[in-house]
Amino acid sequence: MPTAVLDLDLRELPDGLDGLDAYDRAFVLIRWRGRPVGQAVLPVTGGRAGTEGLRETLIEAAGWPLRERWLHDHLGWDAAPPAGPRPSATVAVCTRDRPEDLRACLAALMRLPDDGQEILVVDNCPASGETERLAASHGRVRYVREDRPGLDVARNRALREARGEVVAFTDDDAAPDPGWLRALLAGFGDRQVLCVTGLTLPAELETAAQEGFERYGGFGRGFTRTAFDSRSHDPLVTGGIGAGVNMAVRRSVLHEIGPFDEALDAGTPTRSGGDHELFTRILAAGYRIVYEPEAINWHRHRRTWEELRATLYGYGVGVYAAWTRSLLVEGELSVPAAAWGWFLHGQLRRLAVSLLRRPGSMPLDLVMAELRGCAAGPFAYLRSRRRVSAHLRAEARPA
Amino acid sequence: MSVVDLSAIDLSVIDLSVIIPTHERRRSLERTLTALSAQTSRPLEVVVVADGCTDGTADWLRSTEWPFALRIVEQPAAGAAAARNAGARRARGGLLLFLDDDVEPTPELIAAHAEAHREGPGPGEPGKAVAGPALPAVESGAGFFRLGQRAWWFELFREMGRAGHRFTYGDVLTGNLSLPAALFTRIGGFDPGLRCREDFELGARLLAAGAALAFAPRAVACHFDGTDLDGSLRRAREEGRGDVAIGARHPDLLPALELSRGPSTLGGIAFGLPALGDRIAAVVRRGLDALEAARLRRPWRGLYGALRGYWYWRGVASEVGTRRALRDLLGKAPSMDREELRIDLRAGIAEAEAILDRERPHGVRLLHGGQEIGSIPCRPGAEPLRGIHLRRVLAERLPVPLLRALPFEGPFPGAGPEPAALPHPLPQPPPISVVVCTRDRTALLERCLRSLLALEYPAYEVIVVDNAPRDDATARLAAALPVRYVREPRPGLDRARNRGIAEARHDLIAFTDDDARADPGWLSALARAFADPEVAAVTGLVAPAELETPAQEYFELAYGGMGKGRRPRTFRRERMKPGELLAIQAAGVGANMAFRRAVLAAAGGFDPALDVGTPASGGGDLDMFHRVVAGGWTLRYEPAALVWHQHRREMAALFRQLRDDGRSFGVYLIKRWREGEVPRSEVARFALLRWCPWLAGRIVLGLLGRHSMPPRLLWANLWGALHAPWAYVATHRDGRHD
Repeated sequence: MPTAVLDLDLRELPDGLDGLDAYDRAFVLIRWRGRPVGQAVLPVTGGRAGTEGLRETLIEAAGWPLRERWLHDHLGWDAAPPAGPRPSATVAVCTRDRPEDLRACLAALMRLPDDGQEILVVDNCPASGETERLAASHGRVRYVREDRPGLDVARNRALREARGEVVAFTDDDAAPDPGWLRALLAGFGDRQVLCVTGLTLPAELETAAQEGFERYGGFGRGFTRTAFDSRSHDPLVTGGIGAGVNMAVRRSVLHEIGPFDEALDAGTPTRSGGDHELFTRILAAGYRIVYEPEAINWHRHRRTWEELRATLYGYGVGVYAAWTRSLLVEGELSVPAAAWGWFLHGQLRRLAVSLLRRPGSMPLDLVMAELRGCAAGPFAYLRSRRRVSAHLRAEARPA
Repeated sequence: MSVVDLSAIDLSVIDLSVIIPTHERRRSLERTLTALSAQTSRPLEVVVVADGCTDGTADWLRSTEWPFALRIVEQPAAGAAAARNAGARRARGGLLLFLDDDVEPTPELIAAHAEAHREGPGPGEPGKAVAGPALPAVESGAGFFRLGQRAWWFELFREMGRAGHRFTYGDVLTGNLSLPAALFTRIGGFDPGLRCREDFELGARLLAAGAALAFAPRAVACHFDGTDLDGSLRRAREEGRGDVAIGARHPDLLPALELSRGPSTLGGIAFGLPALGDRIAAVVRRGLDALEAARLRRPWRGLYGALRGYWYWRGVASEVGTRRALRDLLGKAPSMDREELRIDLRAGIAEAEAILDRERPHGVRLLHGGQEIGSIPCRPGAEPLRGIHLRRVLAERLPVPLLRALPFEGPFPGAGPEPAALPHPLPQPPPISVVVCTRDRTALLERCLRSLLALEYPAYEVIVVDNAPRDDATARLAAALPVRYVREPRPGLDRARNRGIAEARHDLIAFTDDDARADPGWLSALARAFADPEVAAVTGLVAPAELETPAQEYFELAYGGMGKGRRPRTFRRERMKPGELLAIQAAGVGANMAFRRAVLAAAGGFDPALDVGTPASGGGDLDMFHRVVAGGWTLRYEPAALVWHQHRREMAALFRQLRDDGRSFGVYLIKRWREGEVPRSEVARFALLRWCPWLAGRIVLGLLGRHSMPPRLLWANLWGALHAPWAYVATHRDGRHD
């Protein structure tokens, strides 16, 4: 059932939405005066959505955040803390052999209002010169090549190469909204904030796998801005804070917290988890992470079911690999307790619901993929670390 | 002595004296003074008070060249408070800036403080005290304690910098504080007897004197707090003693102090068995280290809190002595019943803010038209309210009641950019049909209709159902007013009500009697109750319109009148026992009730067999309430929906009314018995064990002279009840129900 993805503002609603013949449903991002307040899924009949009461349906779906926003506007009250001077920024895209996706991403980045930000493409282990040529075709883009494989390796390279105070990361298969960068940077007014994450929505929901990803592994974290610190939030459980597809970190994180763990994330045996591991370290060190739903990034999920399964397997590996690092390197002895808690309350329940075939439950093959990933996680981390040290030794050896 | 006096040469010098008390911290002091040398605006002078320094601070200060005028005051160790007072006495500047010796100012600090003082205090304020953030210095690899401390300081300054923050005495922190010298002298400086909390105590006196408090976010200083965990526990003990001193000196602050909450279990040990408590505390302290090693954050925080609480109460106990002394101290707190100013937001936000700035009340009750939104309560130790506090309270604490009130009372002017252009995402007040059934009481009806036409509600209609009238007086009255008129020739109140339902155009139907007058906010309150989609029926409060004759007084005060209390109640079948379901007269009266049309249709309309004007007079409303609740719907009693009822003036009429009440309740019970929905055993039990004793008991009390009503009236209910079976048979024989 393909679903159309629409972006509507309540103040400029059309009477009905036409031209949706190829779709059965419409996923709508609801905005109020340009700011996101909620999302809704509308049925599409005969190529048209929302014949009766489009506005009412969307208002109901948006719920409390819309009402709160409306009230704040009505009172002339700004809920956000004072922003302070905007820091200088670098937008970094770490990519590996996906020139088509990167093309769309760069096009979106060109549409960002020019506040003097730098755009950096970190090409990780390229197989061809396509990416370099693509980057060269845009005058404003700076190109850097990183030959050691690993997304975290590329991120660290971006942090070191960046000239701005804040580095905003996006994936190469995501296209940010025009207001994305400004929204991320607004969160850095507070000195205690080292990282700001944003809201990631699906760019398209054409295939079942994409819908499955959105439902079972989606990036959305709601429409309410939240500040996380170690007092309110267990540093070991950072899945709900955000994802590396849409985050900005201060460059000073390199020396205050340390670099991304190069044994983690895509391109290594651990497949994911590098971003969450950094979040853990940031919270454990007493700093804050802010989730800013106005920083919207549109991500193109993987299209085939096999890729979805592989992604969920990768998540399982990544979470446990990150926890392994936290336990062995940071000495976080409460990792086993956290892992047991997640298993008991999260995974076991999902498994049970899936086995009982309740409606709306996660398909069994996806649940099993994630569990298999979890089992493989710790060993994957150790293997990955051995590879990283082997690489470093090889580099250090005189040629 | 090398003092470089620059004030004669340099015109960019600000009339500000920096006062730094120091005690055995030469390195730290050096850091502070170096930073003061690099300020963008030069101070008039820096006064360093060496409080019992034996590490050569004074000599070192004298032997160094400083780019500002430096005054050195030496005194034997007397504490930081006394040191600051001594420094203030020697200072010449118009502004005093207090810095601690472990605080390193950023280059803009003095300029920021001076800037904050440039705008003078408001009218009637003796001065302004400005605090700046003293952010803890960053260090890597810090333990749980350090991290917790940092987070606490950051949160404090973050809150102080937020718009609409209501300052309290606890915001006065002498690590980075400036105030005019005149104000300092006026309130008498610091209390030298306090070793701890002397800044809070100063804050309390500043507030008492009416001074304003402000925050300068750019006056940043870096605080190198050397306190470690054990130091914080020692400090907690001093804080306990300081709080006792503050409480003794400022009893009005007692509710705001930690000690007013009473000791925890661990704290209680500090009173009785301090030696044992200290040993337990030492063990717990080691446990804390173990938790930190195991990286168990939440348990560590809990345990640290408990330990700190113990040492705090140890300090309190050492000052106060016994629990009784503590109780006496706490008893001195004055009662908090301060006058709350009432502000109606309908006049506009700007108007409300102006009122707050003018009156500076301690507490405020906020209304929007007829609807109460909430209150900003009096807080001991906090500054009186200002205009800037309002929006934050409305946006953060009261959004829900405000959102509920806005559709009914309308948006208020002066709020937000274009209030008219903003589309209303909230449900519009639903239109209501008001049905008044009347029979030959035109004079009373006129008053009722006039009150209905004066209702403050945007969309409603009034339907007058004229029930078997003798003449056309009512018809003429209705023709003269913008109401709908309908004639129901068959006598019977419930028939008339059913006719009203049939004629009504809207989905919400409200009923009132012709001898009642509606309060202007009646429909708004009903609509607000119906905003909850679960609610199927709403009843309201019926208050006496007048209490002029003895009959009215008996009815209202001795019998209980028609009101059912001032607390809203929800009636749902699942939550009620069968007896309560039968005693449904507690849910409301027919003079003030409203239903959803769909529910009336599903429950089946009023039962004409229980009608006034028939032998069985007036149980139709009770019967409907019972059917609604027994049918599984929710009935809500909403006292905000107010109607004034004209009670019977004459005793004879009152007797008849009470008799009719008794009779109709009896008929209602018989109907319940015959219907069989409620188990008959329950009906019987209710009648025999609750109703009859009630009826009989009042008579007995009346005979004994213990009841306020005259015995004749007390018989009335029983008299009516005894007639109930005949009345029931009579109405059914007459074929009154259709």
